[in-house]
Amino acid sequence: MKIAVLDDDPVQLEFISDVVEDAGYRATLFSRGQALISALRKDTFDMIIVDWNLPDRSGLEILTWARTNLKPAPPMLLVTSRAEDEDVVAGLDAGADDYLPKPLSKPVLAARINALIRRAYAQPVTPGIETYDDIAFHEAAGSVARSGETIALTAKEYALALLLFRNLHRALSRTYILETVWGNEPNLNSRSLDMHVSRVRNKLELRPEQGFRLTPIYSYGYRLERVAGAEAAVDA
Amino acid sequence: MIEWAVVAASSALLVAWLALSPVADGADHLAYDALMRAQAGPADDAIVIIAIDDRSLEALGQWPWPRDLHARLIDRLTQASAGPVAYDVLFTEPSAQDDGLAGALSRNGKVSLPVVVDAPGLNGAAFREDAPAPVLAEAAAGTGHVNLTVDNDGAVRRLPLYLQSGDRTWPHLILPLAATRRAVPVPPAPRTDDTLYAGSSEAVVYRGPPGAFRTLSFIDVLNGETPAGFLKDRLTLVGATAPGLGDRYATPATPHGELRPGVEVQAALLQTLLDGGGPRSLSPGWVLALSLLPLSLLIAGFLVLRPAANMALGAGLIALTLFASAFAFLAGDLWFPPSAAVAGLVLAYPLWSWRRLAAASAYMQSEVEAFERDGVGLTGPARGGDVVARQVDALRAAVRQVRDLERFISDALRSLPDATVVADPHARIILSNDRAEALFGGRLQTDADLPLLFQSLGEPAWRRFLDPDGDPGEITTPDGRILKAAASVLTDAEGEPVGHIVRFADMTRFRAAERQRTEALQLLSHDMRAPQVSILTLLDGPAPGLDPATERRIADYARQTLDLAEGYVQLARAESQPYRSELLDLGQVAMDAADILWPQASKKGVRILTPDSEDEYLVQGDPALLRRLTTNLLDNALKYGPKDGAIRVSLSGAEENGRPVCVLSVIDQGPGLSEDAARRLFQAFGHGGADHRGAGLGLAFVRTVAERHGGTIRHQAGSPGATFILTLPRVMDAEDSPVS
Repeated sequence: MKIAVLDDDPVQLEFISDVVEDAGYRATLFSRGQALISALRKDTFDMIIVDWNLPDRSGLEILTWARTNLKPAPPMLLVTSRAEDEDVVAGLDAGADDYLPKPLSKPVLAARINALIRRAYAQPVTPGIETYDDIAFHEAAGSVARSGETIALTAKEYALALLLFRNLHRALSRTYILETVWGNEPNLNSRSLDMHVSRVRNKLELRPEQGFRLTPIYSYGYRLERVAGAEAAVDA
Repeated sequence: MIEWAVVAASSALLVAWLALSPVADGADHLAYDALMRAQAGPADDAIVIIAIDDRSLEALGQWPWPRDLHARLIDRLTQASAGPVAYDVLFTEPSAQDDGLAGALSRNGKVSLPVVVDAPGLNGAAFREDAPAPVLAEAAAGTGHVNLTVDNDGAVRRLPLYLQSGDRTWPHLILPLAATRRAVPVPPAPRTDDTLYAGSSEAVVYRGPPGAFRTLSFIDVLNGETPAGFLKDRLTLVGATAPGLGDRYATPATPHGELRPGVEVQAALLQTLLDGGGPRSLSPGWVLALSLLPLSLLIAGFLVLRPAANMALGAGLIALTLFASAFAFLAGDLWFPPSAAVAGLVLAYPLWSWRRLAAASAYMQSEVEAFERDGVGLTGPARGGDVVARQVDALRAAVRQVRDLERFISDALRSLPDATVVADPHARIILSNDRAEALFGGRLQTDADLPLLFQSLGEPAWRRFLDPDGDPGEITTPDGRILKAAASVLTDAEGEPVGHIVRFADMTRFRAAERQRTEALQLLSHDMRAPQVSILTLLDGPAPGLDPATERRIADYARQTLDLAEGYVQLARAESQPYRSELLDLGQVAMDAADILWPQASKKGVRILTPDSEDEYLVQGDPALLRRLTTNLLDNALKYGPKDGAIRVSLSGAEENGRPVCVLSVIDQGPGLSEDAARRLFQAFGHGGADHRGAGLGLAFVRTVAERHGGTIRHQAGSPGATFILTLPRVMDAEDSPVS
């Protein structure tokens, strides 16, 4: 797996490079946007990690360029010190598959890179039982058990929960969730989605204490994350 | 307009009545007589009157004379070869001397004798004819009537050339004399009834006062004292002139009321005929039409002219009518009686003036009352004078007040802080203030209109600024200024559009400040953060040469700097940016905040207890800001609370001022806050405790966001710790039903 990393700050560039190599991938480093675009024209990368603020081109421009010109586009991760909610949405709308605010944390960055690679290049899920830590999805029965205890979910709640877990560490837009779980059902609104997410969160106890965190993304959607013990220590 | 029509119709009717009825004849006769006097000229030499005057009566004895005298006179005329003779002496009764007279008449052969036809006759007859005795009539050259037509003022102005009744026709006595020089009018067609008609009426032209014709005394001619040849071929009339004989009449052209002998009237008629006829009268139809013409001009003038001009027009028309009448009479031998037309002109003007004054007075009265109703106090002193003068005073006072008001409004417009123009419904500029003149300069001069002004600002479609619901945005002028224009339609009391008012607010400096602020936020949110982020990233890796304690302190300072920048940016945005509005469950928001702070809380061993009630506490608000608000409250509790403690978040419903609210309380176990600290708590850059780890912006943010959501935040000191209580308006009726 070959990953292109673009950041004008050498410290950041080296940090990301370390995380990528530690995760077992090969990192190609760029400090100018134009250089990355030139490379993308000739070479193929399995993933792109870009910084937003660059001296020559905006990271958003590069995202848009890649979405338009690369078919299929590799998964793209936006890292930025712009942490405002509006900025996050702008980045996702420009074509990023996910974003991370700086300062970056090693385990979080590694988890995101792995999640994006896995989803893009994963083999189809084998039918039967899917397990995420102590949570098991029984596909045939359409039921969920946590630590062996079966939790009653409606069909929509089951589908929503499975979608969130299959996309661990990935930002999911409301539109994507609505289309995947409800199809093109009319008279469905954001508020209904929020209530379903709220019920899944309460029933499955998706709280950091229990190892999972469900984060709403400002006006965009949701992301489910696995909370590693290490993250708590570093991020504090 | 109705008033006008009534005045026009009534004055036209009056004129028609005057023109067609004899009412105005007196005035017409005055004009006619004056014109007749103006026509005075020499009497015709060919006409000679042989007058039976006082001298003849003295010499020849009392009237009537024996007919022998007349026979002798006729013989004298015969000897003198006089022309045809009209002998205006009645010989109605037979007399013993008739044979002698008949002889003289026969010898002469050119003498006409008079007939008097009186209507009506005796015993029901249509007329009575006093003809000469048959033997005389036989001997005379002919007979002719000498009937006079007397106008209602007693004057003789016209004489009939023929009298008619049935198939009888009497020519006038002098017609044979006139026929010697000119063709005389032929008699009209015979009548079918017995009524006596006066046909071919001729206006008599009198040449000056009585006595103008050559006159010889009867006695002188009888005695042969006339110069030889004097009478030769002259047209001779014989008649009475002596006042005692009574045959005298009032006529035009007798300036001092003298009477004119009948024979002179006949002579004047003769000369009129010899001269080709008197002035002809217009037919009644023409008289009516010509009388109405000046009136209609004046009435039309009422509609378009001002009162003074109307007055002049009326006077001019009167003069013109009189002049036209005189000109037609003197130059064209046409008689147009002017008094009906003049009377119409004279009466229409005051009639119209009266109506206009009445209307103006009523109008002033109603306007004054309207002003009083509208609250314009009429404080002007009511001076003396008639009703109209007092009304004028009242109206003047009202107008002065309105003018003061207008000046006040105009001054107010001039003093408006923004450039403002007022346009009429066709978008032409009618008012503008100093700032508008400064903005547009010379372009506000003549013929300026709104499309032109907007075009000069680089804005082609000005009408979109009229849409009250639209947001036309700002105009960036070619010279770089930023203007915010707002236009509205002015309407009158009935809601009809009467113009436009447009305001141009200069946003240039405001926008510049805003841009600077955005740039400052940009600097803080990225440019200042980036180095701190790099410091933290560096410290995350192996840092040779630094002991772990120093490394941790550097990281703490970098993180503080980041927090400070973040807090500042958040506060600035919370204060100035527009908010989103979504329906949110405050319980979920509290849970999100707790999850965000979980790493810090678990590190400090603190448990955050969120409500696990199934109840929803819905609020309308900006999700990101409310989440950060709650996070800030929890963060505050986490910072000041003890290790291994607990932070409790509770949610409940309540009512405040009759409206449902959500109450979110955050209860910590910290040292609590002093009164002084509590007061400064929610101010930016102040903070509540001795621990200086925070910059104190977090709670200022909380207060700003809570207030902008219509809620409150307050602090309550607990026995241990502190409680922060947030209230937000609660949405009770969520219309969205859950999806099953």
